[in-house]
Amino acid sequence: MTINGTYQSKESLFNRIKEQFFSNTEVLNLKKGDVLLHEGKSNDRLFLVLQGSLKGVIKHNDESIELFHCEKDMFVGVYSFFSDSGNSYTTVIAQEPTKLAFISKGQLKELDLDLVEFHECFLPIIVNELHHRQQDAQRYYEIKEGALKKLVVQEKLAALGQLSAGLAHELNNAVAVLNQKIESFNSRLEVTLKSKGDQYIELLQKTSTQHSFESSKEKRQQVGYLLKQHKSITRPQAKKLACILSDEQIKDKTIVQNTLGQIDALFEAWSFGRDLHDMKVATDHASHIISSVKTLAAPNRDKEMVDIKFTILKALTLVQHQIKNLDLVTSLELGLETLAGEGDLVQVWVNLIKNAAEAMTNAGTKDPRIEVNLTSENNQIVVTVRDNGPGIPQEKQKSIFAPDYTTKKGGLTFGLGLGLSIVENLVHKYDGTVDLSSVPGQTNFTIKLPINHG
Amino acid sequence: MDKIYIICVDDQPEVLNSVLEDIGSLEEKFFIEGCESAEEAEELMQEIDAKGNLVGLVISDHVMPNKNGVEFLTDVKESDMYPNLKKILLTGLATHEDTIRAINKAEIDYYFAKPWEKHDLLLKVKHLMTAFILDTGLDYQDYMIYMDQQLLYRRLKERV
Amino acid sequence: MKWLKNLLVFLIPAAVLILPQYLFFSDGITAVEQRVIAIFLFAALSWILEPIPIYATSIIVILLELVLISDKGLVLFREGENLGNLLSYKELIGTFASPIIILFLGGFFLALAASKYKVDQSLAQILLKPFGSNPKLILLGLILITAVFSMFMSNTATTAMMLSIVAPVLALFDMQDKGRIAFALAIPLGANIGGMGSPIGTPPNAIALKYFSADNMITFGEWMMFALPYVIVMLIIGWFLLMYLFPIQKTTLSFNFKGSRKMNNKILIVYITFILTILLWVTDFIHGMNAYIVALYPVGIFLSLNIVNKEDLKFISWDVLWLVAGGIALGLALDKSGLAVHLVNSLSFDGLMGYVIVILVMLLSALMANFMSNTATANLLIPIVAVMGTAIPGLLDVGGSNTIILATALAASMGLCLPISTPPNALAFATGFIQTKFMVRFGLIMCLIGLILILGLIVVLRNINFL
Repeated sequence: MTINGTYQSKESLFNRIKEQFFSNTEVLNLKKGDVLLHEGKSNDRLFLVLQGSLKGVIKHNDESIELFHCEKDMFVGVYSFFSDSGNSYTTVIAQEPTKLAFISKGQLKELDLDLVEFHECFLPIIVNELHHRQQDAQRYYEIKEGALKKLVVQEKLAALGQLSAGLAHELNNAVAVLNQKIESFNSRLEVTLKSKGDQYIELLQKTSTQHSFESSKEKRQQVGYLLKQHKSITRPQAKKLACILSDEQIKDKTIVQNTLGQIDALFEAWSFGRDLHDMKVATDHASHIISSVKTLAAPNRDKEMVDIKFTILKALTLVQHQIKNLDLVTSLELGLETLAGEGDLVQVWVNLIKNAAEAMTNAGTKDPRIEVNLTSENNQIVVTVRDNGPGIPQEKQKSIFAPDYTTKKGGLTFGLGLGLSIVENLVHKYDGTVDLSSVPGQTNFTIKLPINHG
Repeated sequence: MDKIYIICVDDQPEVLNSVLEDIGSLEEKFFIEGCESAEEAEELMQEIDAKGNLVGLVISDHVMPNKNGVEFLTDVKESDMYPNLKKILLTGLATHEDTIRAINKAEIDYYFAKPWEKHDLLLKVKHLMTAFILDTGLDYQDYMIYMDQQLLYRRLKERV
Repeated sequence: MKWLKNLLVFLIPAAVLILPQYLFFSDGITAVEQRVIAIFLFAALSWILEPIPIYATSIIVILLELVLISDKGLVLFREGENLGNLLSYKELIGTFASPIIILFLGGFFLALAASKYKVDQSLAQILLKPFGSNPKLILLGLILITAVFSMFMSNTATTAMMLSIVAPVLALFDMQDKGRIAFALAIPLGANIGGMGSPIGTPPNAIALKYFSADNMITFGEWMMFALPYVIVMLIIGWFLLMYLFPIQKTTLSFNFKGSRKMNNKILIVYITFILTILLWVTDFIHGMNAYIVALYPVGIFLSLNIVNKEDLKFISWDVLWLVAGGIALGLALDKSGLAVHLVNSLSFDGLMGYVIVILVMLLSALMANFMSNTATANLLIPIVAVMGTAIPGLLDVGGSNTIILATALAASMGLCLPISTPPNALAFATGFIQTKFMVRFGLIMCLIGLILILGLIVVLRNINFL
């Protein structure tokens, strides 16, 4: 019988091949895990899967990579059978009990077939096979690329986490030393000043423990008042008096005159107190920032019961520089807890607030405002971050969550935010949802998280 | 002798105190004032101007609520009320764009990054005050020991 | 306190103005003379206490004279009994362009061009090189170069220029090395003393020039002939004294000069004009043009060749010119009203020897110069001593008015002791390397030596019949 080269449907071609070449051939039975072909070994048989399934894998750096998958009515060994080398380029393993029919090159000769005709007959099958392999390779490449990208981001985060943790540790040590020394300096100073009189100690204690409640403007008014009331007082003296004396004391002429006699020494005590106070404020500020960064970049992201309000406050500390120039309105309910990684949640809020702030700064929004609300609704925690910026155009609202999307113009950004895609990932991780509604003048991000009651 | 003011602006009182203390030695000849916001500084400057006194130098932080340092200095520059006024931007956080704007629009004379060195700040303040006094045509003899000597020589030897 | 002081400046002259005339001298005075006394008192008080700037005082003096004692003044002041001699208003206003002013203007133009093209600085650098790297020699070099420049430029500008060269080097000294004090004091020394070297070196010299009697004129060249040796001796003494008081520990010193300037046409013109002007100044006996006329050469040359343009004109110290003009107007009033003669005649110096008077006047002049402007000192004293020279027999024996004018003018440059004495002192003090006590110690010794040497100079000049 002959097969001519005219067009036949794939199905009918396959049936004819099956009928013609594989109807009375031998049958091979494989158990799950049996190896049919070995990578690099020669193969002179062409298989047709009658039942079950197989996969083709190659080894790469001690890793098995799956290249193809064969099911019933598919051919195996096409490459090695028709290629010149005759070697299999994958290891083919049965994935379940599998039944195969095969024809070997020897049998082909025995059958006394016209080889050319045989090849012509198989050409479409070969091409089809090539096509599939090509697609597989393409798909494989894409998966690998995606995995790599993910890996890079993860590595980046991990490195950042490690770096921050190390940094936080070192800085904490430094700040702790400063804190301790400030305290000891404070007490020693008190001992030294004791000999000078109670007035000095009081002044030192007062200024070192409480923030001066006078604004620079009030102070200036006091200086003006003193200069007006006391003609003999010089301006530097008046400035010192305004520091040393309280508002009532300044109005009392005798107190002012009495203070003048020891003004320089008293001002010195006041300055000591003021410096100590400022140093304390600065170290407090530093430790606060350090603890916030540590939470955000904590490598250990175990789930725990987290009070949402607490995480939002931490996030606000971290972005305080970005939101200094705008109005911040918060309404945060206390005691709403969920099971999550604290750092993850802080990162969600940081990203949302930063995005809002940057969008408004870049658009030059007038009277920029950000509202952050935290409430509960239908047994869910609801956090909304609202800004009065330019809004996100309808057509971009979907893509904004894609990993690479950003509207940020250059400039300096705090390297912790990786965009809204991270927000979405993190929220989904804790079975939450992110919703966006945006029109010019009002953009709302609504995050819903499940409430956990302990 | 003319009253010349130096105005320092920073919203953080602790930082403001440090700046004021660092340049405190100039208090004998100049009037040094601290303000906690750009608005307060603008109001004070107008007051000083209304009394016929002079503002010689403004040292401003950048990151402040409401009006930031660059906006403030730009407004001051564009008001044209303070010819020869010298401006220093003293900041811990300013973007590249902010810095460019500060130089191009506010025409700042110097940029200090926090943390600053007391010595450097004092020298620069003296330098700029010297330039202000000579630019404005005030009698430099009243302020001589608080001036940047090199600049003074350079400018004086042109006068014969 | 301050307002009381300021009030005095105006109240005392006003009181003098309304006192009855017979109270003044035994023979009484004219109304104009009385007004001149009031104006003179105002000028003296105002220049000493400085309630208004000293150049403003000068202008007020001229204005008061124009209103109170000029022939075109307020009608009220032009009539009355025993009025006296009214002054020509043209002559009073003419003081703004008096030959002395023009002489100074010429000097200013030379300095202006030199500073504009940095000729002064490059010349100073060139001149400093031969003094090597030995700090003691460099010190001498700085003193001499400063002195040379201050003969033709204003003392203040010279000091500023030289300090700008020296200040970077001062920073290289150890904190303990007193040598830095020596270097800082060397500049005002050179500037103050150097200024005595030529008639245009400092205003008191020029003012003196104006009052020398017409028949015994001292020319520009003659002045330099006797002043230069005096200046050189003073500078050498000053050099030794500085090294003695403030020993230099540093063993080598080098200047790092940047940006040497290549010669171009304009710079060449500046050099040529400079040399030409000075040559013409010292050779008037050949060509007959006096110093005032020669002074207009640089003005004409620089303006027409656009080496000095109208923008540069604002750098000229008009205040110095007007300060001098006020002094001249004051002298004019004292002279033309007859008050000066009247005053000197009524005082009795007869018993005193000429040199005693000279010494007393010199001490007064130096004292005043240490506490107020040298120019104002000369403005106040020279018109009076000029008359004393003609009226007091004792003085005639020692050379008359020329002697005492010269002594007063030179002594007016002895303001060396305090930071406030002269602008060069103030500039050097502001470097921060000199404490007041160092300046006083050095200045006082130099001042005393200077006064003795002036006296010696006068004796010598008298003996060779120059005076």
